[in-house]
Amino acid sequence: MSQQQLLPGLPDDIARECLIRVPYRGFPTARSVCRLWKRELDSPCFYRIRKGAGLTRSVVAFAQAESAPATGSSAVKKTPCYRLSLFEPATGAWSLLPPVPGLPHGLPFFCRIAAAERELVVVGGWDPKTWAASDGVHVYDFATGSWRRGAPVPGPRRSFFACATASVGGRVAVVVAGGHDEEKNALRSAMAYDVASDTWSPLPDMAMQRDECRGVCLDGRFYVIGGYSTEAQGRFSRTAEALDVAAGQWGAVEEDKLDEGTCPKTCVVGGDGRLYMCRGDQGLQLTLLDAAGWRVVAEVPADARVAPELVPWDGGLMVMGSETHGGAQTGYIMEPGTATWKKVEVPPEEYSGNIHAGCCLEI
Amino acid sequence: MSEGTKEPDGGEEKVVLKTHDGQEFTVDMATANQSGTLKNLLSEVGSSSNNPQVIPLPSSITSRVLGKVVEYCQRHAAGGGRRGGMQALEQFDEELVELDKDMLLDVTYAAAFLDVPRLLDLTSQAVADAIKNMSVEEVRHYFGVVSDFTEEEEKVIRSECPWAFE
Repeated sequence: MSQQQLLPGLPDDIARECLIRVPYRGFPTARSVCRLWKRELDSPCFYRIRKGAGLTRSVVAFAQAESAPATGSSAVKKTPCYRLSLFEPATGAWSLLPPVPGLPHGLPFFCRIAAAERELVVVGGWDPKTWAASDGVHVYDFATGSWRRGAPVPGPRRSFFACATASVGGRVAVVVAGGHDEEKNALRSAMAYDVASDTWSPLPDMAMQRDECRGVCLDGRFYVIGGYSTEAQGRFSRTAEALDVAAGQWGAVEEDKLDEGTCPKTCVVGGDGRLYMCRGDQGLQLTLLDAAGWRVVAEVPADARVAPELVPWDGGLMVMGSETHGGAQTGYIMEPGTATWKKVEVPPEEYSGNIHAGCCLEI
Repeated sequence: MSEGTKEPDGGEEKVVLKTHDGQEFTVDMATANQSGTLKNLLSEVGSSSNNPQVIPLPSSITSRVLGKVVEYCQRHAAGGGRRGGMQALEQFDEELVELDKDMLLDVTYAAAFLDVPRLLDLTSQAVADAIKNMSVEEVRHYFGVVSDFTEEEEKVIRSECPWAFE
């Protein structure tokens, strides 16, 4: 019996050159062709080679409302349905992920999303109908083109927590920390979700309670920035603390990470490994933290200043925001190495809805 | 095929590529050097206009296939400086890979064998894009790949991602 080839007529090493170039949208098709293709597509090696050859693409994902809420005082206010929209900075193309099975009213409000290699993890949020905090975890695999349910978040039903992806010894974990429980008590606890084994493990508590804190990963550390204690309701702390992910230990509290007590929601790590965030009293500015402190990089365009969502992608940045509260979303990208915004085309009917979370995948 | 009998014009170094089916392609060094394989070979054996080196190619690279590769290499040896600049070159690349499946795979093989990286990139991307734009059944049929999934496995795969089969 002759050995089956990946592509009849081509040696496998050349056929592999073809398969690693299949755009990510073609993954589910390719892995459904036969066992050999499935094994190829499912192998971690496939993604390593693809990435090494520079064939991966940045895809920015948003938890976004179906359409811009109607302005004015319309009679019946419809509950907006949140879903995941995707934007590719390289092509400017927008698309939607299939809806999550079992969530007929869309994604939970204020859910967190995190990229774990070729998977997207949706954690927590509020039930769109009852507004009850959810412990749900949903994982979308770009290889299979399908959703699966993950193990629920253990412990109290947590809202407005820090959430980011960390790499631990070659394994990918989604780390969550802080937020508040169902009695609105700010939390110090933290835990990690190992995506491959679908298991949660506890982490040591943070030094401080941090509700509405922000989580970012940098150099093997999971930084939790800002937030506030139960007593301080809404008065944001300027401090941060970092978990050494491999060691599972929190470092000392950094007192002056932020130079003002402000909501750290837009804090992200840029391609240069520095912290960026949108802030400012008059207008809104994109600022970065270097050795001398926070400094202004660029103004955030006026039509994206309200409730901006900042997402880093492949060395660049993207911001989505609106001009007025509840207004249509406008988007801008900043190419790597530049400090100027370029407006992106946002199809108004489908992709101008309110945004609750964003992250970027390399696939 | 016209290249096969063309006389060298001037004293430039030339090399003759001979396919298994007997066709000869006389090309200049700039064209040959687009291929890593030929470049390496020629740096060892050398070639001249009066006595050009004849390089025999394996049977899997037919004259029709080699014609495509030579066309690509000649055009790229000239670079974007001629005939309409980079834009024309990009358009040339795009049109070059509009081939039927067998030809596309054969040119992919030749590009890999002759080590013409950018041509290999073009053709393998064309194969990849074809896969992306097809349903699973179409991919199987088009590339002649036989599904060896059991009925049970096929059922699971179809339920995971029904749209890939539409």
